[in-house]
Amino acid sequence: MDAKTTQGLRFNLSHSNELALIAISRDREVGVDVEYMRADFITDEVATHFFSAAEVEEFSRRS
Amino acid sequence: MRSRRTSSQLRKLKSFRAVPKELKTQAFFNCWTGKRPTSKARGEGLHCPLDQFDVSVTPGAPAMLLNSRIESDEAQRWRLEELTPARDTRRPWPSKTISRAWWLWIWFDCKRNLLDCGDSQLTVWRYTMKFRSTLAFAALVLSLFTSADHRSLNCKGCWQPSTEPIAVSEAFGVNVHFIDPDPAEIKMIADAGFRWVRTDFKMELTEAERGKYDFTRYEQLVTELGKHNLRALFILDYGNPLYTQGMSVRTPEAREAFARWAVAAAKAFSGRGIVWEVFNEP
Repeated sequence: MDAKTTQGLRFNLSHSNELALIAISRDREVGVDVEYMRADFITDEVATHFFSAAEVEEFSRRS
Repeated sequence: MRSRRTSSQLRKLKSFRAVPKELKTQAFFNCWTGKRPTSKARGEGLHCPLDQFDVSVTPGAPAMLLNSRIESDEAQRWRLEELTPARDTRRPWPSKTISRAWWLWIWFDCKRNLLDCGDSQLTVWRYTMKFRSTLAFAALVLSLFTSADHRSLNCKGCWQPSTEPIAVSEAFGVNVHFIDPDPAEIKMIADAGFRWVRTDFKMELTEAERGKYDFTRYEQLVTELGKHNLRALFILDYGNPLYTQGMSVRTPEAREAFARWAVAAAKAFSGRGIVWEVFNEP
């Protein structure tokens, strides 16, 4: 492919278990994520590490 | 080693523990699949401070980037889209199983109806029953014909690539999870038109003793790839129990050891056309 064709081309991919996802865009950034939802994967420590305070707050309110 | 937690982290931990388990799973994945693509699109991967922006987490609520403390206008600039894959579409049933089940069903149905096929039954059903043996036989023959073994994973030869190489760019490659090559597999990769193979280049496998590097297994892989004009993209990654105690590289000592090992690897494969990537999904 020549430079003109590929100019501004962005892609992002993700896979989990048996699914894969790819996104292709032009002139804009793109990101994808696919996750197999394993219940035993979650620990409170991991979740609280990645969540922001506002997100944890939102969940705690719902429970 | 215990890491020190800030009071805000402890507060978060406490309130998160109170969330019911089912909701927690959904919560985590809603949150994670909102944060991950955002950080990836920013080009930062896991270096992006994930707790510095908020995404919608409530099940059923539209996926949104709500706030960002990294750059103030980010919430307006990004758009999050949620895609839910259809259930049970991951693996089609092998047609052989379906056709056998179909045949068995007809057989059982005939047997059952044979026992209580009295006068009260509909005429049309009695008429059908007259031909039950013919029907069962026809089903058997059909199931044998439609067993379609050529679609199953067990079929030898079905997954062989076509003899015509697919024209793909020189830049295309495939990620693999092996080091010791199976020549037939390498040939398949090459025949499919790929020119690159990407795989982990693991520190723990190549430095069993401090400062002693053994790249023999990767040497063999590169040699095998070379026979098919394939090039390697190696990911210098993860850790080494000698330095990292099962964690990632995070102490100055481990970082230095990682750097020394990476330099040794690059020197060992100098001139072999390897492209190096530092860490997987950094």
